[in-house]
Amino acid sequence: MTRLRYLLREAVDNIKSNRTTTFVALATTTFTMLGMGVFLLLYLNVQEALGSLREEIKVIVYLRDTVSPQAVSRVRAEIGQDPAVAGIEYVSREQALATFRAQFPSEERLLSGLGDNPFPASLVVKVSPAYRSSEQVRELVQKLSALSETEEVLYSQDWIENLAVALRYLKALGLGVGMVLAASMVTILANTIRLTLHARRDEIEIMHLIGATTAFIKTPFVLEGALLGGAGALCSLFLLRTLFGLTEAQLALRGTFWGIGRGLVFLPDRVTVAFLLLGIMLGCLGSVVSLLQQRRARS
Amino acid sequence: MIEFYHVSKAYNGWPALHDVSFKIDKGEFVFLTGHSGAGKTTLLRLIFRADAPDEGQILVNNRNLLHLRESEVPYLRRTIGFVFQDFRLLPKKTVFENVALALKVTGMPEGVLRVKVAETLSAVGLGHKPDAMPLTLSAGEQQRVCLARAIVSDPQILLADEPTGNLDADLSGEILELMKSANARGTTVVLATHNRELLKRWRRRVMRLEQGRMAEDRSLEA
Repeated sequence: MTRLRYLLREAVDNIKSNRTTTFVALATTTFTMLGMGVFLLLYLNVQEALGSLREEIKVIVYLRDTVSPQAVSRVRAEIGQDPAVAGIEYVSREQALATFRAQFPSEERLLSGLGDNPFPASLVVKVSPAYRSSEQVRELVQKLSALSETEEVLYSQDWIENLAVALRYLKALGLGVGMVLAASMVTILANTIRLTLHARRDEIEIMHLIGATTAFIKTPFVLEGALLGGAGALCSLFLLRTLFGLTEAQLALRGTFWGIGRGLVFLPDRVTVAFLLLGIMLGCLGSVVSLLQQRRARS
Repeated sequence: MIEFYHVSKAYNGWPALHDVSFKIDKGEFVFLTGHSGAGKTTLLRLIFRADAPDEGQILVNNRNLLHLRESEVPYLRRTIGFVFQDFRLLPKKTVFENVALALKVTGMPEGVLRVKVAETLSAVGLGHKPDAMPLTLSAGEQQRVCLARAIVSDPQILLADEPTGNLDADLSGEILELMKSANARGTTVVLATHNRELLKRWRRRVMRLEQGRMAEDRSLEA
């Protein structure tokens, strides 16, 4: 316990003795980790939005005007037996017209020019969660298109898949940028620790001479890196939360986009903890790099 | 306790020690003397493994330093106290912290450590200045802090490299008294000096080095 307290105090003393360098390192670490945090947050939110959009995958089967109510019931029963179908909702021609009128009241004139109700009746088919891959949805669409009562089939799968591809690219980009930022953070912290090592080289030599083990001498420097990395991560989380709050407020003012604004999410607790640990780990790594370089230079 | 067998050491081709052999027994007080550059500091550095010999064997406490692993060196050094001519104190730590460091590296509990440091500081006459910073002390006081750091862990061996080199005669006498006390408690002392006055005042075994060779080794027990 005595030793641990001593090592921690040494780490804090190191930080105090190089205030300017520490401040610069802390600021750089904060902004580096903020960059990583922004990417992480963006990725999580796009993923969240994609998940909620996937839940709403629907296939709309427009029926021919000539289809009788009995035929509609039969088709509904037939489609309902398919395991890919989670539910079916029938929308009559009148309901479709009413929905249009409710959604676009300013376009009433358009309808008057068309005379009779131009909207076809439709069946809105909800896809089962286990059948939401592109191939499975396409297969279902083919089956529905083949029905004699079907006029046309529309579905939103394609652009959702495009979004999934974009998400994969975002993930790859995020990983790439994250690695570059992590490497620069390690370099910056390694330089900071190197300056501390240089400033305390006489002390280090004296400690070697009085019988201090390498671990005893080097642990404070690793702790210094860990403290800087952790503090940088903490500051970046604070900034990230502030930026998130501002973005959320802006989206609330301007309405929603693709449903994303409705459900913006911040980093979950376990991701926040992992983010903090990442900062600490990168800090330690920076120290270790610096200590290894010093060892190599001495030998 | 300390045994040298045909030890040679050179720095950048310049011989610092050449074919030096001797044996120092437990509890001895030995003066190591010779002109500047005779090899006194090199010899001391070899004892606490700050350097390794180019040739020969060195045994300290029956352990051959040649076979000592790097990770074992700190444990060897904990059995040896070292007093430097230039004190080598940590300027940003208090007197107490400087002395305590020698015990902290061993993992000694805080309570025992405090008592030991306080006792040692009193023994060297600095019991009233535990919180002073080294650079605010006189040269004699700084050397006493250095000595306190060297003896606080009750080392088996005390090595001193020109400990009185920067001190006047009175202060030199005080430092030597403290070393004599440590020797009386069983610590083997090797004191490097070229101060002839000291050799006259303290009649002990004298090993004289000349251009890296052992020129003389005589016992002058009082």
